[in-house]
Amino acid sequence: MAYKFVAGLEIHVQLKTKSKMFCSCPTEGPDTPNSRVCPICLGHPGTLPVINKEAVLMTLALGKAMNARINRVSKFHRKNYFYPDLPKGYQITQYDVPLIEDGVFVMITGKKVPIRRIHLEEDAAKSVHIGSSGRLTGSQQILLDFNRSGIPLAEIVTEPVFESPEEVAMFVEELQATLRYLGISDAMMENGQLRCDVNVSVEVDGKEGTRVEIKNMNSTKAIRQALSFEYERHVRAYEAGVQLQVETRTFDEQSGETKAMRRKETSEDYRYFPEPDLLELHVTDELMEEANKYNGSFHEAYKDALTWLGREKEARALALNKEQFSVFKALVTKGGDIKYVSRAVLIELPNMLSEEGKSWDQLNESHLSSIIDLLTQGKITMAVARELLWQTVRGNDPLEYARSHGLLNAGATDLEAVVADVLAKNPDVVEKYKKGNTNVLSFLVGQVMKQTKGTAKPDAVREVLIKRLSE
Amino acid sequence: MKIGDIFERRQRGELTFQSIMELTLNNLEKDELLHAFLYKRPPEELMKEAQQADALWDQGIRKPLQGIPVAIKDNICVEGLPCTCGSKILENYVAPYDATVVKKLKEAGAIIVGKTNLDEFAMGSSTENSAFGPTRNPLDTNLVPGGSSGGSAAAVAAGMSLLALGSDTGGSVRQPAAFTGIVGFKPSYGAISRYGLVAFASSLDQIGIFAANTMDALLGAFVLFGKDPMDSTSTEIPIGPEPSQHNVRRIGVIKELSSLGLQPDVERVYTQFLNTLAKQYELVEVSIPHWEEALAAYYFVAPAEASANLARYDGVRYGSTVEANTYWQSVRMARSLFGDEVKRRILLGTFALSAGYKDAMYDKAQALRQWLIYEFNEAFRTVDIIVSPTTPNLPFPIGAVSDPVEMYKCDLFTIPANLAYLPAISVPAGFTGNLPVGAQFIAPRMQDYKLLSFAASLEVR
Repeated sequence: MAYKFVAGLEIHVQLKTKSKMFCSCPTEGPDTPNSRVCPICLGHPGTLPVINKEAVLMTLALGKAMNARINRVSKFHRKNYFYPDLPKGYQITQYDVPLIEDGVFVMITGKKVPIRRIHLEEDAAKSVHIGSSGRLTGSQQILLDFNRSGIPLAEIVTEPVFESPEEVAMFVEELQATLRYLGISDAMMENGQLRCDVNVSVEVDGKEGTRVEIKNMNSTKAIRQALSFEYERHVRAYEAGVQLQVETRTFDEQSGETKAMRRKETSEDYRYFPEPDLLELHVTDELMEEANKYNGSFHEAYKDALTWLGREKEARALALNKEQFSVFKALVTKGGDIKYVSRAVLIELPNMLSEEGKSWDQLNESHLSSIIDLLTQGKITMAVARELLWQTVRGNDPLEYARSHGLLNAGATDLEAVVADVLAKNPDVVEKYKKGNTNVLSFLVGQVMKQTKGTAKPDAVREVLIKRLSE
Repeated sequence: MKIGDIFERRQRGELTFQSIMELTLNNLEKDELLHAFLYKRPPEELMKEAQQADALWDQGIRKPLQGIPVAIKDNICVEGLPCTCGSKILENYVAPYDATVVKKLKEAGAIIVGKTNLDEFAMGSSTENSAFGPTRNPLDTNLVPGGSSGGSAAAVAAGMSLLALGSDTGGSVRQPAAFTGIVGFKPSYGAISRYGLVAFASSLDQIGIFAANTMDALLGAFVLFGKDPMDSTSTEIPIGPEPSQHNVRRIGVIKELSSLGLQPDVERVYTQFLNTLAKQYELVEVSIPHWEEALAAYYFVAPAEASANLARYDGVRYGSTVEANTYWQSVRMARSLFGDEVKRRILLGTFALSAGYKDAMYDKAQALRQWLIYEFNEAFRTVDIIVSPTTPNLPFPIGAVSDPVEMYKCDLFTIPANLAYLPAISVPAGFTGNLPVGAQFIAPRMQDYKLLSFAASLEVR
C-alpha cells in the first residue's frame, strides 16, 4: 500500500500590541499572576469590548505579506462555551467574514501554501491545573491567571497541503520569521506566543485517511517528532487493519509520543452569533496605508542572504534568525568583506554569545564593524579578530583593547627576530624537524604566534620558519 | 417642581439643595412600604453632598444637575455600591467601576440616592421578578409599578428622587413610567453609552430616563448623551438643555393597533388624548404591518443575546460563589441561583441559537427586525412622529399575572422602538379613576431632540 502524509495547520499567534484586544490593559509587564487585568478582561458585568486598532493593522500587514484578500468589512462573532479560563462565557472571534482570506505563503523551497483565512480574536486566561494529569477533569485545583485573558490573537488557517512533518516544521519556522520581520509577534513557541495545532491524516492509496488533531507542540523540533510519530502510528494501524479514532491528541515531550486527549464524536455547537457590542469592522484606505508601517520581510532578507552566501541552506538559516541577519546586514552595508563577516557572524559570534549567555541585540554594531574593517584592511589577523570579538561580546571596546594590548600591527613585527628567538629556545624541536618530523612545525608556528600576541600572519610565520629551518 | 425651577428658586434664595434633600429623605421613608430601593445611601452622606452642592453654588459654581437627587437602577454600576441586578447570583457583588452614565451624573453635580429594584436582570414587566421582593406602585400600593425598571419609576413618582435611570430593552422604562404616571424616555440606540449597564440584550438595551416631566428628562438627556470611547455602539446625537423648535406637523397613528386588544379604559383615555392632539396636529393613519410579529422576533433576539450575556455568571470570579467539588458542579450550582424567568429566557435563547434551529428562529427574527426598520422608515416618509398607547393595559395587582406570555404582552407597544433602534417617550395621557394611562411617541432615529422638544411643548400647553 502507498501511504501519504497530509496535514493542515491552525496557528494562533499572539500579536505584539501594547494593549489587549478589547481593553487597555498592557500585554507585557510583571509576570505576577492577575496583575494586568481590569473589569473588561475579567468579564465583569456591564463591561464592553473596544477593538484594538493596532491589532487590526498588524493582521492587515500579515494579510498583505501573504498576498491575501482583505475584507474591507468584516464581523466579530461570539463563540459560546463554558470553561474556567473564559471569563465571559464566550470568546469574541471572527466567524463567517474574517479580516483576511485566500492568501498564499511561498516557502523557500518554492512550495506555495494556500492560506484559507486569518482572523482576529482574544486569548483566554491561562489555567494551571494542580494535581493529576494536567487537565481539567480530575485536577485538584485550577489556578487562573487572567494576564493572558484578552491578548490579541491572529488565527491563521492553512489548506491541508503539507506532505511531510519536515515541511510543516519548515513552514512554521518561516512563518515565525515572517512575523518577526514584520514586527507583529515574537512568535516564540515555548512560551505560547505561537501555538500550532496540526490536523494530520495519512492517505492510503490515494484514499483519505482518519483525521486527527495534534496539540501542545512547543517547538519546531516537537512538531517534527510529534508528526513523525503520528505518521508511523497511522501507517501501523492501517497495516494492522486497526480502526483509527477521530480525536484530538496531545504531544508528550518526555516520551516523544502523542496521546489521546478527547474524542470528537460530535462537533460542539458554539452557537455563534454576531457580537452586538461591536460594529462591523471597516478597513478604510487610511488603515490599509497605515498598516504599511509593519513592512519587514523575511523573504527579502532571504534574497539578501542568498546573494551574500550563495548557498540556499545557509542563506535560509541566516534569514530565519532576524537578529543575526540584521547584524550581518549592518556589517556588509558598512563595507565589510563578506568572507570576514561570514566568519564572524556565522561561526564565531554564535558560540561566543551562547557561552556568555547574551543575545544578538546586545552587540555593539559599530564595534563589530571596526573589527571587520581592521580584518578587511589586513591590520589584524583572524586570531586577533577572535580576541577582539570576545571583548565586544563581553561588552568591552575592542579598539581600546587592541590598542592597549598592541594588537594592531599585523605583520609589522620583526618576524625574523621572533623566529630566531623561538628556534633558539627550542633546540630539541628543531632537531626533531631536521630528522624529518615536519609535524612539529605547527608547534613552532604556535610559539611564534604566541610571542607576537597573534598579530603575525600565520602563513608568513610558516614561510619564514621553513626558510630558517632548511638553512 | 421642575429642576429648572429649583435652580431659579435656589438663585433667589427661596430654597437650598439641603432643603431639597431633606424633602427627598422625608419621601424616602415611604420606601419602607414601596420597596423601590435595593440600596439606599446613608442619609448623612446625602446631606453632606447636598451641603457641598450649596457651598459650590455659593462660590458661583453651576453644574447642570447640581444638588439634584438621582436614583440608579440596580443594573447600572456605581463604583463601591452593590449591583445586584435583582438577582441572587450577584447578591454580594460590589461594582468596581462607574458606568459612563454614573461618571457623567457625578460630573454634572447630581447626588446618587441609591440603587433601585428591578425584575431580575431586567427581565420582566412588573418588578415582581426581583429576587429581593416586588416594588409597589406609589399610586396604589396593591398594584405593580410596571417593570423592569419599576424601582426607578416608583422613586420618581414618590418624590424619592427627581430623576432616575432605568434600562429599556423592550419597554422597561416607558411601561413603568406609564404605570406610575410619569415621563419615561428611551433614546435612540447608541445615544447614551451602555458601558456599565449590565447587559441583558445588547442590541436592544438602552439606558433611559425617568422624570416627573419632559423638561427634566431633556435636561437628563443633555447630560447623558454622547459618544463614549468605551462603547463602540454609541454615537453622537444632537441634544440641547432646553427644548427647541420641533416642527412637528403630522402625527402617525398606527393602523394595526386597533386590532391589538386595548383594555377599554386605556382605549377611552387614549382616544380622548388623540382628540386633543388632533386640535393642533394632523393625525394620519400609517401602517407598520409587522408590528405584532415584532413581539415574536423580540422573544428570539433578546433571549439569544441574553443567553450569551449571562454566561459569565459561573460563580468563579465574582458575585455569589458556591462550594463545589468540580468546576462544572460549581457552574451548575451558581446558575441555579437564577430565578425562573431568567432561566426560561436563557433556555429559550440557547435553543434559538442552536444548530438546526438558528435558521428558523434567530436568523428569521433578525430578518423580521430588518423588515420592521424598513416599515418605520416608510412610515416616517409621511409623518414626523408616531403615537401609540404605551401599554395595552392598566397597572395590575401584584401577583395577578402569572402566565409569562400574558406578561410579555405588556410590551406589545414598546418593543418595536427597541427593535428599530428608535427614540420613544411615554408621557401621561390622562387618568381613569386614580390610574394613569401613558401615551408613547416614537421619532425617527437620531431625532431625540425633536421628540423631547415636541413632548415638552405638550406639557407647556
